[in-house]
Amino acid sequence: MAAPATQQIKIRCNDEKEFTVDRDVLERSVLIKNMLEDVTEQQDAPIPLPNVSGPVMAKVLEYCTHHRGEPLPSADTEQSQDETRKRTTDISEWDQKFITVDQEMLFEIILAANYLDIKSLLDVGCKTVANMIKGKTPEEIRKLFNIVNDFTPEEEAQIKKENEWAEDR
Amino acid sequence: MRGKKRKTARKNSAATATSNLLQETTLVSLPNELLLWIFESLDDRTLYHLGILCRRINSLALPIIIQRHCPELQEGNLDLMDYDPTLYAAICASITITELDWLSITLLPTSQALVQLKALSGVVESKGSLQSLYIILEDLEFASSVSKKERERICEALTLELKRFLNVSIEKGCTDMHITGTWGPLYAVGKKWELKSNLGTPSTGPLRRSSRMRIPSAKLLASGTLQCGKHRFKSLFTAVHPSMFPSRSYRESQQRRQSHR
Repeated sequence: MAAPATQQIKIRCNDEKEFTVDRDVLERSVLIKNMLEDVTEQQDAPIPLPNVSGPVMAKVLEYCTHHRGEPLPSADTEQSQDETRKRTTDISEWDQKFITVDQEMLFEIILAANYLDIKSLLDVGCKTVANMIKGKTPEEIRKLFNIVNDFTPEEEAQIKKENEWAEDR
Repeated sequence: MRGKKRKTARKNSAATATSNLLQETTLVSLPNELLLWIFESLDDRTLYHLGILCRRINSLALPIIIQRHCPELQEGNLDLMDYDPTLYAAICASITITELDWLSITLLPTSQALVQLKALSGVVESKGSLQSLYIILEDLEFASSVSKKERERICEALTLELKRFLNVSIEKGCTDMHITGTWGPLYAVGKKWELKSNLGTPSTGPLRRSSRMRIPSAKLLASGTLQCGKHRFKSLFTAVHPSMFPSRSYRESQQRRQSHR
């Protein structure tokens, strides 16, 4: 727990890509933070992260490095964050630039942030997706995310029918 | 660490989305809890647009809309206080709501009631069954500029639409109807329903505008006066299903009420 901030930690991604990172940077991930707290002795073997690939981890580390030193959201603030999250969709300038990636990378970052338990990054990712969806027509959303229509013909007919009076108001 | 910055500006491009249909990580790759997180920040209309795209998103996005308006969704109970086209459309399109236990609605006292009734018929038609129906009919209010003829036309149109709605509900197995209020343009209620007019007893006079009738048992379809600006139609219509005449106690209680006035 009370390790010096300069301690270096090795991690290994699912594509064998390895990173050596300052402990305080890595500890923005609650998952890794808990792992490091559990394992106190041997620090030579890299921590395996089977759900994250090298390129995605590089992005995540870029984020963690930029935000290092910022206080982690505690359990107390989490509740109120949940409230404000619903209303605000604004993202800081740096984060916005950071998250300007192709769609595949965006969703990979979200999945990684979820797995690694990095709340603030997950929040930035989800807000970005919400902003992408907002104000779009169903067809635009379908194209954007390549969503395959899997309704039964009956359901489809029902939805089409009601669609009409939902659209003209 | 070597943060390799990937500032590829071609984000959100539809072209990338359509390639590699199966391998690509996209919206539907996210687990439900993350989709819900994203969806909760979206407005009803956007959620509706999402909900009509595929079954999984339908079952996640549309309940959010419905629960915002009707917190009791879980039991198949819908309390539709306000008319909101997106809400109604969401209920229809929701594949998770297949049956309605009860439906409680307040018909707005405006010309919007016609649209609302049409939409309600659509809601009930889209579901497998409906058990109970509670309707509160608010007084119709017209602007003074609306002619008497126009008012009658609107009332007639409303009556037809209400009749259609009630018939749709009956077809869906609704056996329990409660209609409360003073909205009275029920000229005809349909082939299944025998219309009885109390016009023969004008001495009882019209119901007060403020009066609220609680119909005890699905027997009485509608009753009341029609308030049209200054005009008050001296009519008390009682629509009765042939097999279910109002109980004696109900009639007596009605008489007691009327004698108070």
